[in-house]
Amino acid sequence: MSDKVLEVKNLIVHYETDDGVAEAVNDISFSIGAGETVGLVGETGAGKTTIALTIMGLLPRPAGHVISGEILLDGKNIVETSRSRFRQRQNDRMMRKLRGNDISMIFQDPMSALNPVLPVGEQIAEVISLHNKVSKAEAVKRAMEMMELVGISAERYKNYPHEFSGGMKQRIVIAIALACNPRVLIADEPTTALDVTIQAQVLQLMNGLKQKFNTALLMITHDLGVVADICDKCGVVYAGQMVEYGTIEHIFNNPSHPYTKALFNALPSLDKDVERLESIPGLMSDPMALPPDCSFRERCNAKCDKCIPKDPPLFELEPGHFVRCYHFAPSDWEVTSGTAGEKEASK
Amino acid sequence: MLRYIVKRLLWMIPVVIGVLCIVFVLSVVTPGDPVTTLVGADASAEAKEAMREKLGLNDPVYVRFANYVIKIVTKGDLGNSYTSNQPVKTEILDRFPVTLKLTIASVIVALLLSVPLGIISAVKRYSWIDNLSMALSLIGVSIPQFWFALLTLLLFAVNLRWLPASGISSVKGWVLPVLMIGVGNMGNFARTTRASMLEVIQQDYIRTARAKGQKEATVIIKHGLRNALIPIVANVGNVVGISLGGAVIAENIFSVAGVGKYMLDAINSRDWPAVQGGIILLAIAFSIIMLIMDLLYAAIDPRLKSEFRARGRKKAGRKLQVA
Repeated sequence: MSDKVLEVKNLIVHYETDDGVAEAVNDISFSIGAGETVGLVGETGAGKTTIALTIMGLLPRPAGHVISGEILLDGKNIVETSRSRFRQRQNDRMMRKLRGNDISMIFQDPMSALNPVLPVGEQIAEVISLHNKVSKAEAVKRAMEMMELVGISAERYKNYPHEFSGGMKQRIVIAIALACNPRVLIADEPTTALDVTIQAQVLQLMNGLKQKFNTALLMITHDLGVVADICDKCGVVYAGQMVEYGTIEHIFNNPSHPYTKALFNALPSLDKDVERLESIPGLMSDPMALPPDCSFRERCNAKCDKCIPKDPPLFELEPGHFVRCYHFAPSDWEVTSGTAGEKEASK
Repeated sequence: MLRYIVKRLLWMIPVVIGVLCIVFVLSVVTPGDPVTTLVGADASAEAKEAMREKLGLNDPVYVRFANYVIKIVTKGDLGNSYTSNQPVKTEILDRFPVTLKLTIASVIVALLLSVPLGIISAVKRYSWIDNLSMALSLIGVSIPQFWFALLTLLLFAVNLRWLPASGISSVKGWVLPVLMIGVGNMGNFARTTRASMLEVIQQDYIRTARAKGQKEATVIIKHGLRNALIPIVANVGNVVGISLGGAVIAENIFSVAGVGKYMLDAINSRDWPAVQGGIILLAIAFSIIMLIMDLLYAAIDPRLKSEFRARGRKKAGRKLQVA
């Protein structure tokens, strides 16, 4: 593995609301090296966006809390789990310097991500002058260069967002995100709101720029096609947990977790002739009331007596390929104390 | 742009004519006779008749209306007041600046206090400062103006003797009238600002601004406030328009010689030329305020500008084939 630019370790994030505590992210770990692309796939509500917002330090307040875990940017921790106001504020100040400069994010909906009352060029120049000590003219010049880089004529610097199409707006959003040449770029479903034809263009653009700047890219999506296109590694997220994690070859050639398999079965295929696409029965567990055992158990079509009423850990199936399912427990794996009795009881 | 402004200004003509028709009809059907007030209730019938003839009240309504309109169009003359026998135009124009100043001063004071309060309330939603300011603005909106004015008069003018009880000859005299008109508006503006800001700070572009690493205060002011401004401007426009019609109560309580007091007196003495003149002025002032507000919207929100530009540039579809 190359040097790790971003490392997420055992991240747990909760939303504390009046109705209860939503356990949005439960023990997520992964890492991204420079120039590497990691994809996170999963259905709506799996916690993908929460992971992204946590890395950005933009969790909605006052509900969102990082309970435990670390996020290391170049080896330096950037999350604050303490609830002390002082520590929080210190962390905010530090994050403000990183955001837009070292870590950037591309949001899902380009239609609403740009400020409607400011010219687009100014919105790009804003982030440049925030993080670089440059004159106004220099910031404008660099913003124009960024516009050209994402394929929009610099003459349109003074145009407003409503004068652009959706795909062009997303290009502007990308220009804003890459303006300060960040080490890490998080793309939260960057193509979901776009036409298929534009999707390919935008992906190509992002991939090209990523290679050019050697950026670490975290691609959040629910489109396995996008993952196959540009990712090096991929994690499948379910109910705030990584249920399968591996290289793109691992996931696509040897999908192992029942949920991953079900996702692939739900894709239309050119060479299989089927009447209906398969769907996954049931709904994802309510994050306010996660089951104590495997979160996917209710919907799983591969339940067996290996399944014990305890949350499964990640098992290493082959080097670098992890699966959170008891099926893949090595034969010498022992359930830690106390759970063996439960296993008996459940039979 | 210029085309649009000229068009809007021309539209004021039918508005004024419409308003004038309504006021003229009302002056005919309203009970009460200006002559009685002028010559006294116990004057002889001949004296009343002479006065009636002098004021031209014996002519049929349509003749009076035609004469009135002709005089306005040809000489810009709004007639003479029955009671003072002075030209209505000069009397109103003397008083209008006072009302205008009072209105603008009270709106500016209200805005300066309420907009920051509304923003803080929205950003720190459900905090004590939000609860306090929203409770205060509820009181401000619901409190009867005259009652509030009398209370402040009692406190500051009578008991404490800090401020004069009437007149606006000194700077101190402005405080109470401005406060009285401002207090209701403050509540109104603060609530509008809060509601509008609350909606805006949930928007994605606010998150984008935060993701740039921008300071929270800059995010709120630069990216939030300008987007939240339209409902606030609309509200201010209405308030200014209405207040120009004379802050009647304030002008009466504090004996300020403004348009509101002038018109109220005119209505009481059935001084029709004065009433009509006042109403024409207000209709024009209101239309101009609305025009200014519409131009302000366009200045705030670039999406609305295209409305001005697009007018009258129709082009035939180039791909349309004529069979």
